[in-house]
Amino acid sequence: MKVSQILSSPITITILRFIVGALFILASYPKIVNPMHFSAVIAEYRILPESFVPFVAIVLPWLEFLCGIMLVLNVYVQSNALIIMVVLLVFTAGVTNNILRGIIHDCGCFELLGEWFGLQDEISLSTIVRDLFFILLILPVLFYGTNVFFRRK
Amino acid sequence: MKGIQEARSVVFISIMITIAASVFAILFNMVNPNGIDILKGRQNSSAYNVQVAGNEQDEDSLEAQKKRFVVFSENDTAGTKHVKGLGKSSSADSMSMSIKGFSGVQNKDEALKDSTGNVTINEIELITLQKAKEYFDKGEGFFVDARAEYSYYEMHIKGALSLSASRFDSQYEEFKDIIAKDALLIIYCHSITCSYSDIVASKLRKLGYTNIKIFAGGWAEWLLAKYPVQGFKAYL
Repeated sequence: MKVSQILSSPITITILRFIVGALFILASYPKIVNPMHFSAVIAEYRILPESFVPFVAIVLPWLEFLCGIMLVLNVYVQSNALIIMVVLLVFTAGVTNNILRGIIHDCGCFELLGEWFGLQDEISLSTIVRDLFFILLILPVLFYGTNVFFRRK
Repeated sequence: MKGIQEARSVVFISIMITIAASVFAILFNMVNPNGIDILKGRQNSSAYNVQVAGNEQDEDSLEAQKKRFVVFSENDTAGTKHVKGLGKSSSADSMSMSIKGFSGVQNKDEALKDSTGNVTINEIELITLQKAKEYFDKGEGFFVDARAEYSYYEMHIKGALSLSASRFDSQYEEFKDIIAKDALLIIYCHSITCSYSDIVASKLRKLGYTNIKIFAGGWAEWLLAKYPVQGFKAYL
């Protein structure tokens, strides 16, 4: 069986949808409830003008949440995968940029998982590797997923 | 051709989802007790307006009187409140402002004023530049820099400790070994519009620190007043 056949199989896509969807729902929750800390973290990335930071700090968690929910529910999968891919690419670029400049700060990624497992959520090389891994997970969903509201049987 | 149409459809729906998320986010932020001001990035619940008047020695006290602090409170998990000044100061003269009265305070019982005119709301006091300098000169308390770590290393108030809002947890590991829970902490960030000192003050109080003050004018006022600073850019 070829790799492309495995990656495009409905079972693989379903598993990946659930994994990535659940991760993004978990990632979004603490940021939705308390966006203050997240706004401080976004400001650290220095990607955006300061005046856009609060708006992005409010909208981005909701975007993660909606994409996560819709991935799990199999709704507009490709569009949601595209959004997640763009978000991950931007974050990876931001993290890489700050690490190269020696600026270390909280990642603003998975605060809830950090609380549950007592992990430090700071940017590091492992953050970049993790984001690249998530991008690899989402790629098959982007290419082989469906893009309909509900699949007709 | 069909592929291009499908790709366009995917992008179009992505944009629609983003717009929907923005609408949800803004609506939720309006009812979220921890919501932030979209324009200024500050916590927007329960705004207190505090009239600010200039010091008698101010050259332009009328201008200073026009300046206002907006002091807000935030319900944290312990059911207590903390405060922060908001406004804009443009010159060193405005740094000697003192808070003289309230207007539009929603619950005055929560707001107290000490003999020096500084505002206290449930134990976290908002202090002026003058008061901060007094503490500095007497060597009382610890100045805590809530800005990003790189900003701290570039320049900070002489003798200040770094405890940034964006890297609080890891920096706190060292901080807690150095600073006693009852020590006087004077927290500051960039300027009077900055909210990081709120975040740090709130977290420190939850962790049991009892004597916390926020230097409202922050780094900008201190620097404009040409008070002692240090850091690798301090002598460039």
